[in-house]
Amino acid sequence: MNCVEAKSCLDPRLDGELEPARASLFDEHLAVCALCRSEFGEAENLRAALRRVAPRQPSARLDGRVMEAYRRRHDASAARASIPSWQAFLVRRVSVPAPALALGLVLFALALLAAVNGRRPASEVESPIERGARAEPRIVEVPVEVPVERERVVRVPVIVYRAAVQPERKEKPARSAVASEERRPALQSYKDSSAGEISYSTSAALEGFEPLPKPAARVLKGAEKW
Amino acid sequence: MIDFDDRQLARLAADGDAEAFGEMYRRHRDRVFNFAYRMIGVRAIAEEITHEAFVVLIEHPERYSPERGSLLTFLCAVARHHVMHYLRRGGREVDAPDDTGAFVADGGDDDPLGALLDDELAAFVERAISELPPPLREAIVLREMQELSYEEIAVVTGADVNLVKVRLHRARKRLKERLAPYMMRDGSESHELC
Repeated sequence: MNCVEAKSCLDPRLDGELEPARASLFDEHLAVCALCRSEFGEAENLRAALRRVAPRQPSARLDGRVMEAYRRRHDASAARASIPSWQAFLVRRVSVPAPALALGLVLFALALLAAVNGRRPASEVESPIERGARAEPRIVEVPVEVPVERERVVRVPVIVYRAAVQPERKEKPARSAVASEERRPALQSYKDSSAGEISYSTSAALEGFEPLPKPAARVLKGAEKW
Repeated sequence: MIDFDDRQLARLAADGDAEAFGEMYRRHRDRVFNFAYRMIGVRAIAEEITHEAFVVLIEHPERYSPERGSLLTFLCAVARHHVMHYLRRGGREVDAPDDTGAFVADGGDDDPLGALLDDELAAFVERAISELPPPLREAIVLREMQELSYEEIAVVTGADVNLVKVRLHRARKRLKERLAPYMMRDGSESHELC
């Protein structure tokens, strides 16, 4: 072994990490090389200086803290072991504080409710008109005036559907205007002299016929009622 | 209890044997503390790191695996993790430890001057160690003060064994240069390779 090889072996030899065969070669080299022996001596001096630095002692407070941590840990384990197995399972699994757990459960319940009553797609949303059509039909009577031989008011049942939509409110015309627009011409009976006792009742003005006087009003009885 | 090895003590301690844990703690407390102290240089921080290392052992005893290394290796690895975390956060790293250095007494109290020089050298050695970069510092502290093997240092630092050797060599070289005025009292000379 030469000095270059010896230099690479110096640290491992000092640390006792050199293989026995190489260690003996290194020792043989040191026996004949004063300079390498001197360098090895310096390394040993450095090690001695490092190892002679007195170790520090931690305070007694550290001992107390560590042993207290150990006792606390195993006291908690013992307490867990004393409760029933299903509770111990929960305690082991659920290690969050109780208030946080309660808050979490409340939030979960609210989220569940929101999911159940959540918004449906627009296509599934029922319009007010559809909702009205789905409602039970209601039969109401609307007075409809039907012109017959004698003027009278006949009430005809008509089915209407209740709509949920409020109809647009239009400005109501004056009562007098409605009366004038809706006023129908009065029926007039005419006598056809060429056809005998046949008479026509119409609102149109017939020329060439003799108008008959209006019959007197009378109360309908029995089968005359419609 | 004293005759038990670390593996047996760790098993007993995990089962709630406070005496076993106490024995285990007494065995390794000083070395873990001194490793943290040499790395940080602040006693209070070093105690906190030592506490955390043992708390990990208390809370998670399953993390210690004897197949991967000794208990001291495990504790030093945990302590190193906290040390590096502290240093990365820009924690205070003092130039020299906050205690006055002292050599281990040889038993000869009849040489006050020699004792004074030894104390001075001890303070100088501590300062020189604290001036090393953290990777070199941890290598030299784990090897020379904790007396761990290369493989154990590699486990603690998470580095390759060859890298550990390189770091140790560089650390020794720097320390030798730094301490040359004190180490060459006997007049020895550096030499050229033959």
